[in-house]
Amino acid sequence: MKMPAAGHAAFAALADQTRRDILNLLRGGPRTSGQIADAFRSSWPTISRHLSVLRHAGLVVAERQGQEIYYELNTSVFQDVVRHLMELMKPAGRTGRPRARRRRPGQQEA
Amino acid sequence: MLVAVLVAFTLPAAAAVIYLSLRPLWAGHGIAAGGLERTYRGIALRAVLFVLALQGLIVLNVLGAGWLRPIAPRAVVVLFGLFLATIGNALPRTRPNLLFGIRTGRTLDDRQLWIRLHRTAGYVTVAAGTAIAAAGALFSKDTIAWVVSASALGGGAILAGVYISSLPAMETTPEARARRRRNIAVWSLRVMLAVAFFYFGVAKFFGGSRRMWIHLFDTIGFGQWFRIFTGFVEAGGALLLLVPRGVLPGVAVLCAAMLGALLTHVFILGIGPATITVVILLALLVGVAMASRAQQS
Repeated sequence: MKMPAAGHAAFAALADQTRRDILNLLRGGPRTSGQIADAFRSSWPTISRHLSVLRHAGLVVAERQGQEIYYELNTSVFQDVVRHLMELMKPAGRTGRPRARRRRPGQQEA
Repeated sequence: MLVAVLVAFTLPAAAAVIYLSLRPLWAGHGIAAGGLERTYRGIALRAVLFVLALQGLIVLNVLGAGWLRPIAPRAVVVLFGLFLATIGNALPRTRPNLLFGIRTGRTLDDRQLWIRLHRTAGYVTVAAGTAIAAAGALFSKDTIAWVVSASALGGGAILAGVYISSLPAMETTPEARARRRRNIAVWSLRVMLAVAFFYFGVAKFFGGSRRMWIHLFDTIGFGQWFRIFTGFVEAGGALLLLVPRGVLPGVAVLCAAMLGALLTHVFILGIGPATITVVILLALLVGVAMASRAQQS
């Protein structure tokens, strides 16, 4: 029923600070990709690629409303717990929000 | 033996009938379109697995597996806990639909409210399921009963809190939001008072712990019929508080009972800690009455 690849994709998608921050942002409610990109310092194509990774892993779903496409959080409880654990375990030394300072090269194939 | 086998197969038969009759609901209406279909299928699959596992236990029992008998009750509790936990895990992925979830007019209208509420519901259900499964595997029967009832009550209270606190935000104007907030406050108070008075009233029928009310009404001296009468007045007044238009009659009846209680405290029983309870209840009743008057005008 559930393909192992899907579970693996979810872990891979969660193993990135910016993507975890996007998921955290979406806890506040659905956003368009433009609104998400505005909240980050990364370029719009980078955010767009991150969103595509998240969508393929099933962690967000895209919902069309008129002209706009809204991204909705679609994580399971287990995936939320994994995200929290990753936040707790991430390497020390960087306090605060790293996403605001760093431009991230798009190293992930979408 | 034949009867036992027939009994053993009523569960999967009932489950299959329910499953097949509900299937068209989400298959036919495109309700679960767009990738969400998998969520609903997953939930249905888990329900099927749960029934199958229960069925396995029953069949093994019918076949007379002796080793199973002592652990079967625990196994059912653990299975139920795991079932709850896996359902809860998928709850945040559900969206408004015809079949499944906390379906009220508001959650069906407001997709964001649905999403938020079901994420919380998912956390609560996973926590409750895990606690129930762990208690079933490890602890005594009393502890299991306690854990199950605490999870049900606590989880219900958390969800009711999230749902009710979301109501004011739905209003568009500040005045409407303020009105809604006051409405919620008055209703919470009404429910609290109703629960308290219903409890006091019913306790009077049964005499109370260590026959407290029986002794107390002996001291008052009108006879035990007065205890039953007071119990009826309090329980009836409590029910009136829960009826939309019953608040003023309910408050009137309960105020009369509390004034009577106050008088007996002052002249017969003597003023004590219980008098403070009576005065507080009286004040809350008057507050509810005034707030309801203000709302209606």
